[in-house]
Amino acid sequence: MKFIKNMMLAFKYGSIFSINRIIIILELIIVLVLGNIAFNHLLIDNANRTELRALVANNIVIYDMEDEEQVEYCTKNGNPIDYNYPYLYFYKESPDRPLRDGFNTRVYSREYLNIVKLPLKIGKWFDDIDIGEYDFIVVIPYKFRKDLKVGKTYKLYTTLEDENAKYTVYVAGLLKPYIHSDEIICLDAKGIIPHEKRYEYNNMKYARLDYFDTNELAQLGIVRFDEEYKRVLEINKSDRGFLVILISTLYTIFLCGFTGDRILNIDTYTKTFATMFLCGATRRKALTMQFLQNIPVVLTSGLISYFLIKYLYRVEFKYMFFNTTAFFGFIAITLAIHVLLSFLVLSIISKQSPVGIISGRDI
Amino acid sequence: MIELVNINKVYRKGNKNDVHALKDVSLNIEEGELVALVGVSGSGKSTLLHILGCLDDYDSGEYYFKGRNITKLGSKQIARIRNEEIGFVLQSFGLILGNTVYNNIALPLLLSNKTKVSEIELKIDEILKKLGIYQKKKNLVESLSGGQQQRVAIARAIINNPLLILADEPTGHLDRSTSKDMMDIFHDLNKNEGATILIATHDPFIYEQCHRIIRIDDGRIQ
Repeated sequence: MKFIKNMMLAFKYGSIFSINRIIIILELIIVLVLGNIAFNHLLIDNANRTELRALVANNIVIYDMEDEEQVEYCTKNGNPIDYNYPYLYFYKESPDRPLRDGFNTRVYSREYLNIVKLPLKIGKWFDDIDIGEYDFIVVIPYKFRKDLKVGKTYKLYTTLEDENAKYTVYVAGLLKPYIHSDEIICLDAKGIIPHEKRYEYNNMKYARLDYFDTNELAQLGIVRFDEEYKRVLEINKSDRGFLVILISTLYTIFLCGFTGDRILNIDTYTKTFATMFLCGATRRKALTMQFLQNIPVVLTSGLISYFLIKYLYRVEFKYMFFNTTAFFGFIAITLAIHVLLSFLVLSIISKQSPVGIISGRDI
Repeated sequence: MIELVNINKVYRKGNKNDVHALKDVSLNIEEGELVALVGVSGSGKSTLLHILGCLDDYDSGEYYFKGRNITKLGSKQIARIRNEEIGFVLQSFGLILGNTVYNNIALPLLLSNKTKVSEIELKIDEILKKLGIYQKKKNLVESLSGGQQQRVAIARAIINNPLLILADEPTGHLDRSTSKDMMDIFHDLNKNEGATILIATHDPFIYEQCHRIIRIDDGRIQ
């Protein structure tokens, strides 16, 4: 309590609303928010690369179902494709009710799901589950985490022919937040979906990959991985380089501002220290105040950034979710820099007498 | 109220260039006095003022403040005396820039923790009205004139109703008319509030208005 009180007092007298402090807060907010976006982008990119490698290893290429030219290319050059992964809707409530909230679901073959393994926040992937007792096994996207719980089994209605039939659905895992998906990934464990609509993996050389945001891949169009693989990875590499440079630049700008403020305004910090001493703080308390005064700056920026990131995620801003590692990593680095700078400033201030600071050494 | 016995203060002690700023200084100041401490620049008056204000320590001698031997007090007790019983007015005002008049005056109250938050504003308003700068309450201190800044410094010095007010060249940066206003305020505080005031100055206009003049030269009381 005393610590918080002292911190707020230091914050109040640290000229928090001066222009340079406001600039520092804005800089840190920009670093935290853009840093989060860049980190998320890197994570998604990493997931894509893992994905690509798995598909390449299995001679599968990607095409865009919306692009007729690509579909035509695939059908000419590969086995005929007459099939798309089937969609399902799962409902918690009876289909008799007029308004129902359903869960978009896309069913994949077991072979495909053995190749493509997406990163999970919690739970298990399909190849690690005993499928014997369930009709469907699902991995849910992050947005459904409050509706369905990992490790639980649900009796759900579907849009299959018999709408009144309930199926046993086991929730095996929860995708990491950066895997943007509106659909549940589903394994038809007991072959309930009629055979003619099922995905026959062994006869198919082309697969559609659209359960998470593959922005770079969409721009590439149709890709034969045995020919284009290197090019894909090169493009990803340049993207990663750009993002790393972006994050580094942002943080450098922030650092310059933060460090510059502490160094250029050392005179102000020194005078504030002396004035606090004059008004009745012990020397130690006055020095502590100088140390504490920037912590609220970091925390205020962190709090504003946190809510901004959450807001952007809620409005479905691309690549935006709260990345704990990136966010608290930045905060920790910033606080560490603050501590180092503070010790530097304190070592300078502590060598001076408050009396000397207040009035000059007029004997 | 104040008793100094053979106070000595040496700067850069043990160094070839040491400066013996105070030499066996002894003096008494009674409650309710308005005293001028007069001397040329470098005579030791600021050092003496800082020791009286518990801002600086001394090398030998005894200092009694209201009967308490300052030498034997810990840093927290001394800080409390500075906070509650002594008010400072400096030539350079000593205000925290980038903060409002209100915040500057509130600092001693916030550090003392003794006044309720609800009472702080009432107390500050009262003093600001008394010193004629109430309308500047929310202004940043750097936007005020020299005279107004000095009034803020006085307001901060008296906000905790101290027994002793120490003023170090309080009119050094002010014109004659504003200096006169400052002295009127000091007279008022001395006469009506019973505050003991010690003003370090070399300005005859100031020290001629005080009840007693203590002259200091080369670190010795004359």
